[in-house]
Amino acid sequence: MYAELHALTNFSFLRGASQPEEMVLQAAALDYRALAITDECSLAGVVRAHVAAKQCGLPLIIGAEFICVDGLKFVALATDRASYGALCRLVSQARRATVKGKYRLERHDLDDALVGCLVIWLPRAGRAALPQDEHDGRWLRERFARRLWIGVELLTGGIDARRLALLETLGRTLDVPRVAAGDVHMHRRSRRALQDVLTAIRLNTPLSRVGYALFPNGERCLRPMQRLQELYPAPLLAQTLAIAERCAFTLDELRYEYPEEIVPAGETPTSHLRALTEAGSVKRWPAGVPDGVRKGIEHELRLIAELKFEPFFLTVHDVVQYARSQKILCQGRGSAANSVVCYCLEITEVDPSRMAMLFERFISKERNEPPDIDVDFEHERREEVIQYIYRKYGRERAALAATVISYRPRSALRDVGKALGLSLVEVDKLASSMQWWDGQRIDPDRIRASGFDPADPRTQRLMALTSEILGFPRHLSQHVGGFVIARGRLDELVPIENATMAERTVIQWDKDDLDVLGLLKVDVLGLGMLSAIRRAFDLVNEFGGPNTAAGALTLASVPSEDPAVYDMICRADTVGVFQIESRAQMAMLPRLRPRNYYDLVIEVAIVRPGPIQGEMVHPYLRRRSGEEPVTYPSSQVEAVLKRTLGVPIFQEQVMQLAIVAADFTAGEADGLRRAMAAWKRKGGLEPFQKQLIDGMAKNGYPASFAHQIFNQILGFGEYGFPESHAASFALLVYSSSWLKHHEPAAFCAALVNSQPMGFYAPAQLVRDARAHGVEVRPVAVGISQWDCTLERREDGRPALRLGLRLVKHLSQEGGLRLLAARAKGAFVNIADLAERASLDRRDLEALAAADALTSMAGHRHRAVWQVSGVERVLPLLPVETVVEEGVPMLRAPREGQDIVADYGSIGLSLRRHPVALLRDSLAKRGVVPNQDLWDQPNGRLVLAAGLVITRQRPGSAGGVTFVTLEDETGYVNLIVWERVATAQRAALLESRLLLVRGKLQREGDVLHVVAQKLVNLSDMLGELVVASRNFH
Amino acid sequence: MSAQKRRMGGVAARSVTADLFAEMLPAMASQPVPVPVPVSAPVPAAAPHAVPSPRERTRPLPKQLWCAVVFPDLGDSEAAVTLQRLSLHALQFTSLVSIEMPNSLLLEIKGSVKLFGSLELLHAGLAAVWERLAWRVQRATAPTTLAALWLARAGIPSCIEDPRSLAGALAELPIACTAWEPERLQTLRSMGITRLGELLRLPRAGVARRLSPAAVLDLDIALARQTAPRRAFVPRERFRRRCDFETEIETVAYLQKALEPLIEHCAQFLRERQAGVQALELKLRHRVLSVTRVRVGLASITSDRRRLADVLDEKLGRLELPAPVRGMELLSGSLQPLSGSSLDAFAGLRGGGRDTAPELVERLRARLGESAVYGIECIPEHRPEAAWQRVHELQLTPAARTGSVRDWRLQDDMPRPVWLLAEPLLLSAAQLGQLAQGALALEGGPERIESGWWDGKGVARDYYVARQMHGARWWIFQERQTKRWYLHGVFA
Repeated sequence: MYAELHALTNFSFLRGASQPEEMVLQAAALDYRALAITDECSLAGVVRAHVAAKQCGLPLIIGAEFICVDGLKFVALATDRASYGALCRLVSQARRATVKGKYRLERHDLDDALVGCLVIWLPRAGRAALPQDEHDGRWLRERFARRLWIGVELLTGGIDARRLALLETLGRTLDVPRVAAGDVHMHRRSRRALQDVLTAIRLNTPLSRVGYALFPNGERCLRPMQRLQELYPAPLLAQTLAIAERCAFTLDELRYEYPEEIVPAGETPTSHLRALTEAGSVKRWPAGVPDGVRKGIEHELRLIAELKFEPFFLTVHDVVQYARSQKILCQGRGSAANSVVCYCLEITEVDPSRMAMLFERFISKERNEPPDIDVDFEHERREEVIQYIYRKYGRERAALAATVISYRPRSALRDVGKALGLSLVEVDKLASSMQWWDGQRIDPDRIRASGFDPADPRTQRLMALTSEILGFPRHLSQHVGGFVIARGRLDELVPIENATMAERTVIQWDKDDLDVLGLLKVDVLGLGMLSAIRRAFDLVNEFGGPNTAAGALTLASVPSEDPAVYDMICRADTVGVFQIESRAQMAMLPRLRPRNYYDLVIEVAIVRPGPIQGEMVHPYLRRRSGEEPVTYPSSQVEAVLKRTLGVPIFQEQVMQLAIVAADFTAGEADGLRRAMAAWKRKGGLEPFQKQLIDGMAKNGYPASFAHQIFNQILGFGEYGFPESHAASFALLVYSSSWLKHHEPAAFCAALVNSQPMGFYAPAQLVRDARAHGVEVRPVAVGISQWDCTLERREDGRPALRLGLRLVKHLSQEGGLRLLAARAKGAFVNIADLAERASLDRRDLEALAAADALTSMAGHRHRAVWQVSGVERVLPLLPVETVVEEGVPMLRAPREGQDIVADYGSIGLSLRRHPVALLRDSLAKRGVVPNQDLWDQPNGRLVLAAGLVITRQRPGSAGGVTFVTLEDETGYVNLIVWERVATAQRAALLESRLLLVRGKLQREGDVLHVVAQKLVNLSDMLGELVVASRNFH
Repeated sequence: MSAQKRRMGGVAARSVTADLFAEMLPAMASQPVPVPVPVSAPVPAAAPHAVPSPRERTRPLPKQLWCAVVFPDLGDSEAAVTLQRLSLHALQFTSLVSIEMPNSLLLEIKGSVKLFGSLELLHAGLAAVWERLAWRVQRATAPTTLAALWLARAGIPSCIEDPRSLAGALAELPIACTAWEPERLQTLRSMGITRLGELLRLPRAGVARRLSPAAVLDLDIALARQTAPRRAFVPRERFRRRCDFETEIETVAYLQKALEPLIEHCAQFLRERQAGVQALELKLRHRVLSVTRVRVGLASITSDRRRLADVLDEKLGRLELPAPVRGMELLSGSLQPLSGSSLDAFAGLRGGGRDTAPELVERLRARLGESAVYGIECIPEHRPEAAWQRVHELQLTPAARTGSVRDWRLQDDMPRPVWLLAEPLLLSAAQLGQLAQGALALEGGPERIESGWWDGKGVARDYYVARQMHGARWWIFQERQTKRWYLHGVFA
């Protein structure tokens, strides 16, 4: 009978060679009575172990291993909630004492620490170290009397007998009991090679040179009971059980530790949430809450109360209220966000009556985990919200969740290759192609294609170890915005450690861990489009106009379901619009032809790797257009898939199908969801595959349907898109589309002011706005503000004035000084400008290069001459601005030069399109303007050319690169197959002006050129700087 | 050369004496050769706005002619080394070759024209050299360094001999050929200035103020209004001496005799430079066959005549001449500073013999082969057979254990025998019997060693110390997989 009390998982980074789950399952299989997970100064792996231990009924002990700076080594185990808190505090304290990824524990840190924890001391146990050991033992005994043991770890190093005798003597001398332990680093002996590799990676040394830092053998695994009985005297083994019995703490005790201050005195969470909801419903439905909605509210409140989730909704509500009070635009999404309650609480603007979703589907009694609400805030102001949370709850109670950074195929290959002593060049060659990894296994043929011999034992070792290490955690990083808020001290709930960013801390658990334990977390995310939409609203509201006649424009007051807006969307006229501005989305719009809000929800979700790889897109389109009948394999399936015409598109539908068609429990379906998110990194879908396909077969579904569903699950991967998120995104899609259609000037200005964000650079956004009839006025030092602004035209319509923010190399401080000085009086000349705004030469040159000084200096060349002669004067000296001989004769810039300079300085030009200047010579080569391509017959070989605007190589497109070219007439989209891309890599990647010969492919309103030959014509542009945006 | 350096050079030449300038760089391998180049005839003013000449110019510049050679294909990584090598080739045309990083050479060829007969012949010779070396070059010749360089960079293969035509020739060049910093070029471009001619028309003071005085200085140098000393390339030194025999020599003994004066010269050469070598090469020329090369290496850097002679003698002693020798040439490897430390660390071994330890090793290696003499080094490794290795370098100081010292935990380790068998020996049936009966008694262990999988020679063994009846202690192990027993070492 044995309980292992000293076991490290791979959350002791680069030490432990097994996942926590593996460790637990193996311990259960070996019939251990309990298992302590004792990672080095870390509890990062315990929640995973906890889940596995609950499944197989193994008592799990929470503990940690510590090594003091002077070498004192021990394991501490939690016995109850209080001692668990003490353990967390010590881990936090040691982690916070030094840089990210390390810890520092001094003797004196232990003085009042670990109250209630059991301590297993691991003495040095060498003959020479005996005096030190005795001293250490007495020191520890003073602090941990009656809860201190000497750990005896017999690892077949040839000296076991001597070591045992030595520790027995030591124990008797000190009167400290002894206990057996295993210093476990792997669940099975077969991980020995991997453990060696981890050591080599940790020491950044090839295996052949690691030497004695490697363990001499594979004994540090979970060893069979029989072997333990041979090795250890029975009393030492029995002692493990005695200790295990005292460690009764389980992580389940941490549930429901929600903050209390969100409920005012005299209220309960239930009554307070009800009051807030009631008040909100009156605001939402001033004419009276409809009956259906009333029923929905009651139903939801009942469910929330039953699951005790009120604090969660109240906390999110509080954060959102704060954002609103600061005029920070925000929008909730996620399963619970689409509830009537959230609509009443103003967490979301999506009216649930627009959606046909059931609240239960998202808050499930069986799943027993807290509701999922992410809240997106304006990306530039998210930090204010974060600081509010810190202020309200204090840094000792709120922190960001961790993200576990794991080994990916590329990093795994690199590190393992280095450990095996391969040259970096070799490894990189293999790592860079990555063709051999299909997500599940390594393909030997592809390995060979990369120049490696799959039969070579070195290659085999590399591949085997690489697949073993995949998914191993590498370090903890900061989650983008997942906050955990505790009722009491957070560092007694979970250890906190330093993040990379200064003054940021991160807890040791990730979002899944928090979900499992039901801890309260709030996702505070940043979204660029919200910044843009808020700015657009502000611009419109300030400018006035017909759209504000009925009051200020807000997310809630944007007129819904405007057919003109949908017409625009159907034309794929969506540059700058949220989500549906990407190449793939634009190609889909004319086919899907969204006509209402729910169509947009589908549009957002369908152009994703999941539906694309699951081959759901075409069936859906065919059914939608009536080319294919809408059928369902059963009425249960019909209930799940009716709203998407029988084709599963959303993540929720897949999970729901697993439940109704393959008899998954809600918990299993949730396990499937997690596995979906992670299989690309670590595999693990196989058991679900079998269960799903067998289950469907049992219920009489055709195998093809089952495989189709499974394929879609594979495709979903990490990008699976839930309906609940698509629903919120669709609202922003609609709102931004509405703005683009009705307020193009404000929309464009807002987008440019929110850069960097989205798909298109200011040049395209401005060009698009002008194409829609917006007058755009140049940057001018006497008029422009920092941001782009609206100016009233003669006819009362808005014109867009470009802001100083676009001027490259102009410092923001300089720009603001300029505005302040200008407010006191217009500038007379350049010297006046330089002096009053105290601009340095760099700022002045930036303005001159942007052609913003025209009013006082004449053409650009003269402006540059003048500003470059200004010397920054010390303010103390009463300055005679240096008077110079007159401006020399400088030629005025030609149009081409001006365009080049425009692009170089503000990234766009209001003059002619640069390609227009080259049109004659392009025409001589036979190049067709992009607009005229529409007149060419399908399948014709054509020559097209333009500036490269974007290059995109989506993971789901099977190696295809999409390129967008722009000329003075419009855009053309290229499809570059992998073969062509590889053969003409340089031209593809380096061209700014690209000439392409290829086949015209036209399908309805979608036009592509399938590239055959690419030619880099960038030289024709001279020094024209065009920044393309590359997406991967 | 960067603008920075050039500026230093220019300023130094104007305000400091040439000697002082030379003194500033005594340690450099290549010595600056200040070329006294005062101004020649006044340059005709191009336009009313033209850059006026500097006031301090007094003496006329002597006539010079510079040929700039740009190697556009030269990569960054090896540029310095490659340019030095190319300079060696250029030295056959002039004694003043100067390297202009990152990819150019400047040759002063005025003095060489007469030697080659005409400028055309000189150019043809130059062209032939680069062609033979398969280097693509851009060449231009002009009375000033920068003019030649800028023309060459612009890819205009011109030859200007008259300084008065410089301004005209440079006017059409793009400003990029100056290789000024990108910011300066950008400033010029944003004023609409793209050609040197446009720049030269601007007011001098205004240009100096906007582009820094260094830019104006560059223009002055290019237009021969200002001197610009260049640092000449001096090739790296090696010893090289040849002697030809009046009659062919057929025996090695004679060769050894004939070699003595060459070695003496070599030693003298090294002494004068306080340098030593670690390699020598002797080329033996035959009438019919190609050259026989005898290469020797030395265990340490030396300039000692006797050591050089000994090691060459040793090598020649074992040489079979393929043909009679007509002449020979002794070449040294690259010169290296002679370290002051002697080899006394091993002095104890010197005994009665005349050899020092390195000499002994050299001698033995020359006689028995390079790999016959080796040292032993401990390697921190769990596998006993992989825990040591042969090394070529001999640790001639009292042996310190190399590699990481095993930590305190391992002080109590199982003992290791001093004598380890080259291959573990399978225990015989009789020995196994002894083991079973206890005649071969297991004293310590097991020590389990499982390691070394990464090089394909992994082991998984349980080691024991076993005492034989008559007291000998063996180190034996049982292989975990096969359960076979082996003898791996014997304790002293």
